[in-house]
Amino acid sequence: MNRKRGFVKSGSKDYKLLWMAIPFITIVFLFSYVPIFGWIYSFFDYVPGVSIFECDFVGLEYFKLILKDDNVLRALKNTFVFAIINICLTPLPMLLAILLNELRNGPVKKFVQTFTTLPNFISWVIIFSLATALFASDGIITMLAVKLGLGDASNSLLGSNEAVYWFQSFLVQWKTLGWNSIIYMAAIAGIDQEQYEAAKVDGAGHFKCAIHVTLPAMMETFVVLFILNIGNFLNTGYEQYLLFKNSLTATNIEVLDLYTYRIGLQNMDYSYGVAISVVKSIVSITLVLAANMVAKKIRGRAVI
Amino acid sequence: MKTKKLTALFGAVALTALCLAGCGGGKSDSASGSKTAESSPKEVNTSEHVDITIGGLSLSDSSTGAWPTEVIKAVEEKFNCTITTKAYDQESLNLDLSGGNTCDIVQISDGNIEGVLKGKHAVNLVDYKNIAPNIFSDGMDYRNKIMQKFKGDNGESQYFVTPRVVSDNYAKSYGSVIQYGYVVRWDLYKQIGAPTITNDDEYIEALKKMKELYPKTEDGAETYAMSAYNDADLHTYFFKGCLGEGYLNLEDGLYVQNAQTNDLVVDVYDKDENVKTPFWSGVEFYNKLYRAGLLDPDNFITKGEDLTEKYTKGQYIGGTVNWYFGTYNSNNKGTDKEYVVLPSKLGWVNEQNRAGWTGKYLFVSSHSPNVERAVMVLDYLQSGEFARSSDSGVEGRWEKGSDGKPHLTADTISMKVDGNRAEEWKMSGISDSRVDNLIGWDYNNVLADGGRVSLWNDEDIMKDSLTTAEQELCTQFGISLPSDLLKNGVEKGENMDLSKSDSTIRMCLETIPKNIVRIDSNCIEITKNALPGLIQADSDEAFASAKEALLQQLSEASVKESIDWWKKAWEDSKSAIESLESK
Repeated sequence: MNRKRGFVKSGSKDYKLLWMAIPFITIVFLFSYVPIFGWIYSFFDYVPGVSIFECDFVGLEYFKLILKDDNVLRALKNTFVFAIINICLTPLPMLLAILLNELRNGPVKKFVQTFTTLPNFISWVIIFSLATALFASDGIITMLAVKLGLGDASNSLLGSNEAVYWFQSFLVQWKTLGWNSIIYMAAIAGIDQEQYEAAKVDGAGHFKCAIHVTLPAMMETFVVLFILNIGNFLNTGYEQYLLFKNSLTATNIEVLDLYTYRIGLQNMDYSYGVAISVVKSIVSITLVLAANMVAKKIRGRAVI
Repeated sequence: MKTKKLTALFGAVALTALCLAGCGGGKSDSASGSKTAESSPKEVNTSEHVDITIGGLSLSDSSTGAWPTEVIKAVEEKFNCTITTKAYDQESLNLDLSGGNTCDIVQISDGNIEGVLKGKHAVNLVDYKNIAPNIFSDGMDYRNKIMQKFKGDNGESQYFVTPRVVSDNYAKSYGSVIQYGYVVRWDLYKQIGAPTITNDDEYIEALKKMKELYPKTEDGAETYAMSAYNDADLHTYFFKGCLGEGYLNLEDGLYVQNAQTNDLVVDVYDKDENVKTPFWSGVEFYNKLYRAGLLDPDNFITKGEDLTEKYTKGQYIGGTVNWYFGTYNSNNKGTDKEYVVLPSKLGWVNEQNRAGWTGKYLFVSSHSPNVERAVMVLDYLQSGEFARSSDSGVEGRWEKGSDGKPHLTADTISMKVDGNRAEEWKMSGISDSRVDNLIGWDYNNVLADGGRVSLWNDEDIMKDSLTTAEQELCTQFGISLPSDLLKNGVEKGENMDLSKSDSTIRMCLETIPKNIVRIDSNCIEITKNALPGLIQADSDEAFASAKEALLQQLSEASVKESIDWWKKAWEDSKSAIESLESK
């Protein structure tokens, strides 16, 4: 038990494991650490086509600019709103997994699982096209709402700034719900069946089994995913918001990733775009560490 | 312990960064722009077959459709090379520039000039003067001076050439049809009595009547007057206004150029109540459409492809540009159900691009393994011979008539209109949009043989190419060509064309500083977001209030700093050109 902690010993089982891990470590290094080199661009006035070392060094100029930029604050607010809504909806996949677990009809269970998982493989471009076909002024749902006297064609959901937050969050949930529930399904599969039998002996029905056996068993998974979600708090991505952005929804839909895309790639203001990304990364790391610390305080052990 | 780990982590990252920086930093020497033709051979040995790629922001991939065409094959044979074209977008171009592996010949916009020059990506064409007689021909002298002074190092070097240069030997042409203006569905317009349309109010009245006649398509879909296209920032609005008020657009509509006086006018941040600037003219027009119930309810979410789809279905009865008609006109060929364009105040023709088209600068890459051959190809693209063969076909597709001037052959004319010969038409390479931005001379320059570059602009040919609706329009108004409506208007002083506008001022503006680009882009975003409030204003008071709010927001976004820069840069450009011309 007094095993020396340090680098793995040659010839040991751990050594083999390390070799097996090397491809993955390489991938993480290449795609997660090497791009950190790009942060250097935020300290230079980068002109595409000119070597970075021939560009003017501007120090923290672009970071100072962030503080003066009202749009960053607006984009940050939008990002927070979307992130908070999505974090509040984090238990949904877990609930879906519990409900699916309770389904006793095998084919129905498989159908529901497939039906809810498939949207994850549909690209945002196609989802946008579907949403247009459904919610544009001549879309099926809009026309139905008009016929039922619930709205008029000129006020489609796609152009509603007030509905942006919940409508976009609904689309995210629709797309990812089934996929995200898979990990919980796996967690449920790992629960010792004796626990259910014991609960049933004690008089628990389906509902009580779910509450007192299934739910506590999934909490570990839930907390890990929750912390990972907090790490991704600001990483909302931009494809969805870019597609659904129009002059009616622009003020509420522009998240930090989309703003960075607009500044960096559309306006070709690379250095400023990188500076925003750097700040975003630092905030994200801080959030993960904070969430991990909280988890440690509550559960007595850290996740990372 | 934790501190040690953190230090090690940051150390590793920093080391990696330095290693990578080392890899990237060594590029500059090898990518020397001062690569010169030391031998300066008068006759370059072209016995070795080479590949020449031409990439550009406004080019299409040669893999899309028939390639190589007759026109390109002739160039390939002439220079013993294989030519392909590549479409760049801004990101892929920047990537190639950063990696120093651009195509042999590259087309860029104003935003890339600084990077190309500082990064030494372009060869100095002056060093290859003896193998570039067309680039340095007398007809290109003015363009070359502009390139040397404003797109170079202000010295004797020249890195760029432009397409579609208007020479002194230019024959005015209004084309056969009007491209932009008041779009109407001819059958409906005819039914309401073909009323005269000279302004927006008359147009809206006509649209109302046409909508009453045709409230739904044959398939039962609702019809509308038109919609904005939302994938081009503010273009829908200010371009409509430019046509209606007589301006040319600059910097995405924040500023415009008066087509008559060439003065810079502040467009969106318009505080002068005596002048109606294009943006506000356009926005007011769309607001009137909205109030009249003629505007597509999806006005703010419609993109170019949505417009094309709705035009193809016949859901729009009006418009301002002919880009989005889709296949509607060809689907209704031979009937009077076609879109035609009536003139607005400004006709987008006869622009005097004496220094060529702005924002489409071509250079030979210093990274090319075949610089000399690339220069020779670029030089040939700048020749009258290539311009003629691209726009009118290779020799044989046209021939000299009894008057000694070149004319298109009957077979060429028939090939264009005969649907069964569509493939042959594509392979001929005539009017191939993939090379349109590469051609040195303007369509209406008159070549040494007395014919225009584009023989399709001869009046007889244009008459023969009119559709049923266009022919009916000519009969209705007693004119030979639909564009005569504009031509007659210009002659009477009721309309104007671009013959007095000087595009060189725009070309010679100094590079826009990043802080101004940032302000302008923010102002455009603010303006885009304010559009719903303006266009959906139910009353004049609501409109005025929304306008006031927008101007206030623009003011807070430092628009005045941008205005000061633009006004100064504009005047500097004008005076620099004047001093160049006076020399």
